[in-house]
Amino acid sequence: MSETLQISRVAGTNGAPTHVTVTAQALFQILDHALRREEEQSKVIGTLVGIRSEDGSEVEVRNAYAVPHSESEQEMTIDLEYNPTMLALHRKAFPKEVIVGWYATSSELNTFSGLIHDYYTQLDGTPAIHLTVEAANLADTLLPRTYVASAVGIDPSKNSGNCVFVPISNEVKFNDSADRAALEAISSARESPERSINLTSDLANLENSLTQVLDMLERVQTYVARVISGEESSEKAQQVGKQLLSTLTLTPSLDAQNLEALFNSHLQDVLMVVYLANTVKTQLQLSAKLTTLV
Amino acid sequence: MTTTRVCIDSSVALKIVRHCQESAPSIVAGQLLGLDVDGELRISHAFAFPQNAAGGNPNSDDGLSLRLKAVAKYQPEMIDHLKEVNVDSNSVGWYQSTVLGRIYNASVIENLAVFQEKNPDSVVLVYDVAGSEVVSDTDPSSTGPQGHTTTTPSGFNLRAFRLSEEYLNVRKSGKFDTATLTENNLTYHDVLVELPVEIKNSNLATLLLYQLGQQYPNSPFAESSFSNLNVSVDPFLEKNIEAIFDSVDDFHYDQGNYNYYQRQMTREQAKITQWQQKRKAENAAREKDGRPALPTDEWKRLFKLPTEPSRQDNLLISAQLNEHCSVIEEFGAAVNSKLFATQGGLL
Repeated sequence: MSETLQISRVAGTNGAPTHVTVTAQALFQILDHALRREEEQSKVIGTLVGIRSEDGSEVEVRNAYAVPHSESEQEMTIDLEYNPTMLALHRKAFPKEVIVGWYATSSELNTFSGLIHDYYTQLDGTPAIHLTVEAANLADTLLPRTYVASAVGIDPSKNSGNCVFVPISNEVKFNDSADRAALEAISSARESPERSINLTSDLANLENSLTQVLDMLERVQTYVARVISGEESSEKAQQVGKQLLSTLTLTPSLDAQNLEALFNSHLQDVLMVVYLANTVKTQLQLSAKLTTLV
Repeated sequence: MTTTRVCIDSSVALKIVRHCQESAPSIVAGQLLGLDVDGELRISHAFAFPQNAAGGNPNSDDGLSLRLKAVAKYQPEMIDHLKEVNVDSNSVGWYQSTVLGRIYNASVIENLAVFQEKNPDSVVLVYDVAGSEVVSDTDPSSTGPQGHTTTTPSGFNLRAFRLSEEYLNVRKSGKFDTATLTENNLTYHDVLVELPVEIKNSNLATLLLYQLGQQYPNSPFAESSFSNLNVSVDPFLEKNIEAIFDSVDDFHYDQGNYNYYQRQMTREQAKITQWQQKRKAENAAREKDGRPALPTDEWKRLFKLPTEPSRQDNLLISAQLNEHCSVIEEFGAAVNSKLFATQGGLL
């Protein structure tokens, strides 16, 4: 793959992106669009918007919106007015984002793909990226594939749509602090048969986490017991042992009395605040009741 | 028959979270589109409103204003475009970010009333961005994957609200005085009704989540970060207490106004009683002399009773204050058990 990449650069995709970051949100958006396609449509396409790094070598896909198109064996049509208006609308809400490329919900690349890609490259004047998610054939992976195109032929201006799609690396971005909690919640929904999750109270969540931690502790304990009894291989056990030791040293070295005093004072703070909140609430209720009496 | 539950598609939930977080601390809003199916409001699509549509300083009282006029042109245009790609074009409310659950303010209520007039199923989805803000203020060391969740109790705070029947009735009558409130049984507890929120993945999304979990073993798709076991509680409580102080100040101001009205009222009434007694005595004297009695209801012309100030502010402030207190109470319960657990673990 690296060889192909070098050749493509010689062929004139100068400044084309080499790495793509996709936010989970954009991926979900694309899947949502895939579900809304007309029955006779084999795939749908749309525009990717996001941010380019200064040298253009990296692209972050932040958002995606659908673009109506129809495609058959012989011909393909895209609504040329739709895309610019939609972009203008989108940029009113997200002024920093620009067009970075386009997506399709089928991993098949055909002649039309080249034409569409040309259109997107001309839109912005910078090399566009192409992202595919295979939503029709579920035996294949749903993870995105990303490409840049490099022109083929002596005079690219005469051969529009002639290009080679060169795969480039991509990753799904999730480490953003903003997403993490939401993604965790959504991920936990996949286990349920209804594919849904209630945003439950803190206490229920806490209980879940605690039982999980307990389970993990139990696993470690049984593992340690097996090592002691000599059932586990020594080399791996040594590594685990070292890590366990370093984890245990993280416990603060305070004597029990001190620790208890600290905890109690903190606990009292919290209780005080809760009590205060409670009092305010009662006052409110009183005030509301008394006003109606007058 | 209005819907009683809210079900959000996961793509919508992610979109809301990203939009709100990216723009924090400024307050942003967007349109929700969806359908109601068997008493359940399914929110299947959302789009952001232009930045100038909602805005202002989140700490001021009118921070949550959503200028409906500013989006009046944007909204139908966007919906028209989305219709072409088979998105539900039915407006079911709007979403917006907020800080520390500040939702009870006049403009939110006003907008909600407008939305519910058009579609009784409309809701407002509120996403609380307080957590990330608090972290950056007080504890720069804890930024990182879990930084955001350290101070927000559940990390992912998305709630749905709708105006209650009682409130709408009072609103219809146009008077927010004590008599109307009592008549309609409206207290600060039931200005807004909270609806249970559920997040649903499509089949494709479920598949993607599994594959992402395999691809990125260290990600939220694969494991929980146990961020809700964090015991750093002070910043969150601190911010909430500050919010309570603010609300209490507002409450006092409003109460002051009302007390003034009540004093005025008592004074006027005393005067009226005096006048009535005087007239009574006079009439008794005139009757003795055989002259016709003077009318006894002339006081209505002579004295003007002060009008009762609108109770709406009081309602909203009380509700907000109540909200802050409930948050602390709930949070306190969880924190206490966490603290005890930690203590038990360390001793």
